[in-house]
Amino acid sequence: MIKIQNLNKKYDNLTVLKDISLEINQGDIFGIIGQSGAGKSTLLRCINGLEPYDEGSITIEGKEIASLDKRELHIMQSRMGMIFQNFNLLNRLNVYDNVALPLQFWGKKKNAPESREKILHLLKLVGLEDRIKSRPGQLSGGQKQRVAIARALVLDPQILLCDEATSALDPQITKDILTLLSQINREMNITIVMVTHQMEVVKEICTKMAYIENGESIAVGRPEELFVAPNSPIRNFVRDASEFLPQEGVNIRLYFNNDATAEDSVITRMARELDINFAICDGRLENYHGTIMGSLAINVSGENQEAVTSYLSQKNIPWEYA
Amino acid sequence: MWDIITKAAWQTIYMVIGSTLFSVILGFIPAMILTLTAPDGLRPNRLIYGVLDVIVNIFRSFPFIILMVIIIPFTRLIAGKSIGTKAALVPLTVSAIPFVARVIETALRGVDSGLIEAARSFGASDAQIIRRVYLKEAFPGIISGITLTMINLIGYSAMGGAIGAGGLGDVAIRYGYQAYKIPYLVVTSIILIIFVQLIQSIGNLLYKKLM
Repeated sequence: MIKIQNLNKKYDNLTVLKDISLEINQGDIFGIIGQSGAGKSTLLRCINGLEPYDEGSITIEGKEIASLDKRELHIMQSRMGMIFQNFNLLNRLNVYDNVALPLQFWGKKKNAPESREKILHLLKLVGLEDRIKSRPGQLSGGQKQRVAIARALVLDPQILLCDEATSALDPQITKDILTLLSQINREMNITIVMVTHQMEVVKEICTKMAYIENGESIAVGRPEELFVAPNSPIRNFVRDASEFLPQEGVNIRLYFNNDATAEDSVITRMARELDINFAICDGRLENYHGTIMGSLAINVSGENQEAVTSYLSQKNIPWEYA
Repeated sequence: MWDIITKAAWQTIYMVIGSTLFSVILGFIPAMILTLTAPDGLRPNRLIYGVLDVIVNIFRSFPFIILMVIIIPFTRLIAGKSIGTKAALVPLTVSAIPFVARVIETALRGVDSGLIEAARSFGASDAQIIRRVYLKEAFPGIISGITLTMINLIGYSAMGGAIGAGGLGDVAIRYGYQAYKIPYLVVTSIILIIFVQLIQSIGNLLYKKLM
């Protein structure tokens, strides 16, 4: 649906996007993750045509964004809803009028029966049907983002672009918003592209992701493949700052897929079969939209290293030195 | 005394309201151009912005009394004569235009750039963004700016006496100061204070209502 090929963009001499290639399919919830300043928001703005790019191509359903004239670009933009970190609602308009605004841009009357029905339906979807007359100033952050979501959907887009949409919200509200977004993705069949620096967001709802660093796309794949895998290119980003592993001996991290209990017994079985002792230093289980994935770090002494690694390889258990 | 003061009060009201009206209409245009061509505007243009910016600054640096004299030929061209209450509208308007341009520009540029971006992301045209986002969001700020302009113009209109425009300031100077009739000085001052208070209160009220 969205195809990005060898995209390059510079601000004066500063390269912000470097040879980025991505493909986003119909129905994906695609996460673009990276640290602040990595270029991910710029990438999103290029997709929406808010910013031009220098080289390469972005096509949406086969249409090259850079080749559209102004009118065609506006039409293309109307098919992509967008939500923002700071919500960007008009403070002087009430909830209803904020949602109605894009309709007005497209020449529709905000109180026409058809507009009214659509706006009320969307406000109900986001759970704000009783706040229609409220001003944004009277709403909480989560409620404001819900209004913004309703506004982004009012033109019946096929794609919803989210620019750090949950970064200004607390964890519980973030979860609620993500639940709403995945419901929208499922029920309205809207492709979602999310730019975020929050790993939890990607883990929670994204079906695919790209990791961007210094304007380059370092890794693309399913989140569980990239987060819970040995020698992942995004390890430095993912690494838990609070992780503490012993300095002595050798630290080995094993990865579980799906069936955590089976893997669990591997540890005890390995201890028995090899007749060695080791310390369990760190373990975690994570939920990737329903699939439980985990990892376990163990510390073994130098002389047992060979035995343990060959045992793990023999049993086909993914591992890496931690 | 009251006849003189009543007449002068009406002259002041006439000058202030008239010049506010014209200067807001005429000052709005450069304000809009400045906003659009500013580096963070919808159509950044360094040249147009730079030139207009300098022009506005130049006009703002003239003391009103000097400006009034300098533009006498222009006043005659527009008003048909260079003295009188009506003629005074010309220098008052000319002096207020750059001021209005600045306060409206400030109000417009105070609109959160995120709102402009959001509107663009929905495919809004520049004209729609101006109408439905800039003007809508900046409206209370614009009203504050107009309030400020009116109060400034009350001060300027006091100098209108220099070109025979009359007004309360003129009465205060001629009767109160030069002829040393203290009651004139007191009464005109009180009326001017009431004017300023009234305009400011109405302005504040509107601002609050609109926010």
